[in-house]
Amino acid sequence: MSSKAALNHLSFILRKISAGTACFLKACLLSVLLLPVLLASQPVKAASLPLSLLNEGLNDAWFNPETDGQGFFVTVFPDLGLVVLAWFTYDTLLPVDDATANIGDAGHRWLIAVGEFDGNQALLDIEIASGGIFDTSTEINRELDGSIVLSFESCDKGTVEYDLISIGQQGTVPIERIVSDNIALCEGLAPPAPKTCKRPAPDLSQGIDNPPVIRGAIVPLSEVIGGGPGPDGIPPLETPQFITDLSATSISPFELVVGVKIGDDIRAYPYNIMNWHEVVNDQFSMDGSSEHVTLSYCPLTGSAMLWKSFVESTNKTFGTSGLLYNSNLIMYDRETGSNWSQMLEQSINGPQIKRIPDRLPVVETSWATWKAMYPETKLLSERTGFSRDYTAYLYGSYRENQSLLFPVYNSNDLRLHRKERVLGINVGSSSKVYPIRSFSSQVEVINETVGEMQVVAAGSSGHNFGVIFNRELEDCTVLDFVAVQDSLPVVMRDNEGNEWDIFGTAVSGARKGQQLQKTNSYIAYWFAWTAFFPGAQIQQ
Amino acid sequence: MSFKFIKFALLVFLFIGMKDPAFAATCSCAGVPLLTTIDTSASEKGEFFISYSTEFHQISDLVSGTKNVNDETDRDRNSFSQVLSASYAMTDRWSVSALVSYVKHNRTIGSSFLGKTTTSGIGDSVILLRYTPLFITPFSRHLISLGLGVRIPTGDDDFGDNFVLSEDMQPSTGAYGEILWTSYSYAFNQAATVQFNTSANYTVNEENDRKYAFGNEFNLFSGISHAIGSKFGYSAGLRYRTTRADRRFGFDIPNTGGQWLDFIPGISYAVTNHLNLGLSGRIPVWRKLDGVLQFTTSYAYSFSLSYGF
Repeated sequence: MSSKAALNHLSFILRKISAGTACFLKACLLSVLLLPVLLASQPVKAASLPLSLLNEGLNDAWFNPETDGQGFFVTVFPDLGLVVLAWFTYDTLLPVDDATANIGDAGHRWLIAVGEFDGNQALLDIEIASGGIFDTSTEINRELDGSIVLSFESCDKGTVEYDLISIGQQGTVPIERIVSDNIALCEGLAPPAPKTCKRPAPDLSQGIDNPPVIRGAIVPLSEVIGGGPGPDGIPPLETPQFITDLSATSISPFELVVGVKIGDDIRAYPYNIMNWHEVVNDQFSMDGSSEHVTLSYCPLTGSAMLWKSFVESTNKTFGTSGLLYNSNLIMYDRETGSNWSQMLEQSINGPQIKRIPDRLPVVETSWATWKAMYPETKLLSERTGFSRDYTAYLYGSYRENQSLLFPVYNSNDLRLHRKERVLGINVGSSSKVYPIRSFSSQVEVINETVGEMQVVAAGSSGHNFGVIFNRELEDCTVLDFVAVQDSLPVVMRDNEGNEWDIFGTAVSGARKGQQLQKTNSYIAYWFAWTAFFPGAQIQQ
Repeated sequence: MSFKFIKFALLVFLFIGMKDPAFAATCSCAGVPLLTTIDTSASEKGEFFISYSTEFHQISDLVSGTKNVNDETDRDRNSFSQVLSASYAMTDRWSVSALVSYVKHNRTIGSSFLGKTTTSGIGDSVILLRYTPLFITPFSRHLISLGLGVRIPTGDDDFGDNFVLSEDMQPSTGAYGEILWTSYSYAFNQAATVQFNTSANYTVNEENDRKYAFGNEFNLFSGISHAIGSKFGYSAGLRYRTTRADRRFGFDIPNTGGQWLDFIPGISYAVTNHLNLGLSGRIPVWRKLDGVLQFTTSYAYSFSLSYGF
């Protein structure tokens, strides 16, 4: 039945009602008169489930306990998609003393409203009928007099929001059932509510969401300092070359690499080259087109990130600004000159201030492990175009000692050695770190909750890696994982029997192809993590 | 042979030969050679010398240990300093010297989107108290002078439009330094027209507010100066310099410190009995720098002018 046909049908019903068809009105009046008695004898259910769609289980007498002697009849016609509301009430003022009525009070008023519903809400037109005489056929006049929004939050609670033109008055009336008999019917007819789960999305930023801007920056400018080399004094690699014949490389098996896997394109960026350049502007094929990405590694904080370049930028590359915040790399984008904190993963000043890059996953591990996991990997070549000794480490004994080269927050937090490599995660105001060396030599998996997020951390001190994912899936399933040994890149198996790799992708089982949600996590030196995110818990 | 002539011969050395910076450029590049330009001329009671000097210091050599390395970043880094110096002899043996400096640093990295950085401002100042127990006179061919000084951070060390620039780009070190200084000269002839000169100094550098300290350094200069007539003079010498690594929070900063050997030639001209001009250069001969890679001196030259009362 079309809406128009339904409305015609309703009009017929209304004519019947307004013509005085006795049963309907009589029942209404009876309900209103008996209200106090009914309330006393049948307590209304305290609460019921949220209602997502109106149904005929709502057909009942409703009232506002604050307005004694008044009430509503609700009738839902699910097949028509229509609702009729009858409101039995009084005039806005008491009748004058000499006002008379043959039946009942001179102040009695009843309003009829009808309209379509959508979800748990209906928009109704109020119609005022006049010209009728008790139990007599007369010509009836009907006039529209405003509208009502009728909504139900549950099977036993609703609101009537009215806008009455004739009296120029708007208001909201909370309503509830007079009796609770039909609640069960209503709940039985209600479609199951979509399952809601607490799976929190990763925060937008590693730091505070929407941080305040002070003097044009989201971090104290006085604490952003020049590191010495100046902008691009540490030269980024703009056209990186890669080696495919791995037998020709001399890289140590213990050298750490930043591993990237995008589709079938797998690349490794060794620390010994990244130490000298810190930024690589590279390109990957994504969804059939070549996309610019920027890989950064800060040797002072031991942190690596991969950011997808901005679609709208003409120049999609980043440079090294020569500046540091908390001893951590600040990059600048060559499109606008805005500065970006690597560990905050956010623009800290300039035209792009507060913007958060589109982050892509990386895995940091030893070259031996990476190569074993992905023998088809390409390796960043030392033929960079720069005369640098990639066998030498630029910073002396910095990696091993407690030295700080630049001021940092919270530098007295010595719960761990300052240069301890930790896998850290931020969830809301909660932060936790997992020292890489505290994972077992083989793969170890930890299922737990950080903040409000159910996470799984997988790591290995022997293979020198650590990754962390949200283990609550989109369908609200919370998986429990156990470690899988000797099968890298597969690192864990869930309680449903699916196996997942080091990038959080299901590689076997019913969920094959699914991806665990990324988290705000990465590896860094302890002093840097606690400088940016003070108060982090430490996995013991 | 007059004392005045001997004095001119001494000036040849003092003016163009005694290039002993209190600190100079390493990778950190900060370095205004203050002691190079401090006027130590006043030697007789009541004498007063005032001098002005400028130095251009190019700091674009990229060095790994002892080897030069190509720098593909097309970096151009230099400092231009101006120093006003004065010395006054309170007695024949005791004198005091002082200087104030104005420094401009330029840094351009050719490949950088952000281009050029320039800072300038008043730099450090030095006060040096000298005791000279032995002079070159027609009756003595030896000069010995000892000094004790202090470097005072009179300028800005937190320069930067938005962010605090690194220490090497600051006009001032922002820290005090204590200076020990000594000089010895030997005249090969009674007229002292040919002299062997040697001087040494050691500077202890303190921390600035950002807990950064330039490395302590030692300088040793030895050379020959020759006065030709009463107007012209020239000198040539070698300067050995060594610095400890810079420090922050007491920890060594990698890639700072090292050893340098420079050749320092110079000429001088006495315009009048009171006014002298000098020109000198600094050319690296050998260096062995700490760490893996440092930017360091490519060359330097200076011009000086002094007036005695």
